[in-house]
Amino acid sequence: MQRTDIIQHLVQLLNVDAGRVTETSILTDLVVDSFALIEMVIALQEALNITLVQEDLDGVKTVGQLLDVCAAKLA
Amino acid sequence: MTEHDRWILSFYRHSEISGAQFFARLAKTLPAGPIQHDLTKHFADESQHAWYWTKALDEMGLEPLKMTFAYQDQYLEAAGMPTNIMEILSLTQVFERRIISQYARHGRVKDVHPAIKATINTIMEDEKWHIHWVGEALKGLEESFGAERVRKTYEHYRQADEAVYERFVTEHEERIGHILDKQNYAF
Repeated sequence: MQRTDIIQHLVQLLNVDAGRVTETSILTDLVVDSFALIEMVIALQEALNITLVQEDLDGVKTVGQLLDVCAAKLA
Repeated sequence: MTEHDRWILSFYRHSEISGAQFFARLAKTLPAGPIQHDLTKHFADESQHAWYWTKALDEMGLEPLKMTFAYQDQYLEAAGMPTNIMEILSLTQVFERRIISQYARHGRVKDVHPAIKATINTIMEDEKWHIHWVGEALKGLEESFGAERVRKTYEHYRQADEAVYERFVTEHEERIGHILDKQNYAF
């Protein structure tokens, strides 16, 4: 799966304009609150059929960093 | 009735609403299955509890205060964001145990208002089921995550809860001190 495909998933899950979701976008800027971020991470795992744990997201702030983590799980 | 009673019941009401909102969103996100099933009931219970507290306040002639924070909000700051259903349920289990302990203490206070006592008794029945279903779900998740990871995750959130509760008690001692002082218990 390409990074652009994962971004497409994120756009759908977050229900935001595609232009807002780039590799440098800050994740917390894309959601209304922390619960929405949890919801998005859970839904992303369902969509990609991967499992993330808390340590995987340590220090993850941007979409690009999240894509790195997902890509590693998918590899 | 004092302003402290009004504050603590408003706090309970607000925390139940926050819990309901969170579980409602999760119930929409999770795939169909036993966890989605029980989580949906859990969400319905939390909503009902918010209504019970609203009704209790009304029976006591009090209006709910507008609260700016829920107890659960502080977990994310103290323990980090849960990222999968096992972590969410571990955090939920820790929170449910804290809630049961808090309600049990409040129910023991001498001369507690009958509306508070009745509300706590009703909610406690649901809380026991919450502890049961979440415990069973966590046991089931040991197969995917490993028993040791599940145990460590629970411990991580339990320690965070200790810190959050200690801070909560310190910050609001004037309002909740009478509930925590065993000398005020009827039994």
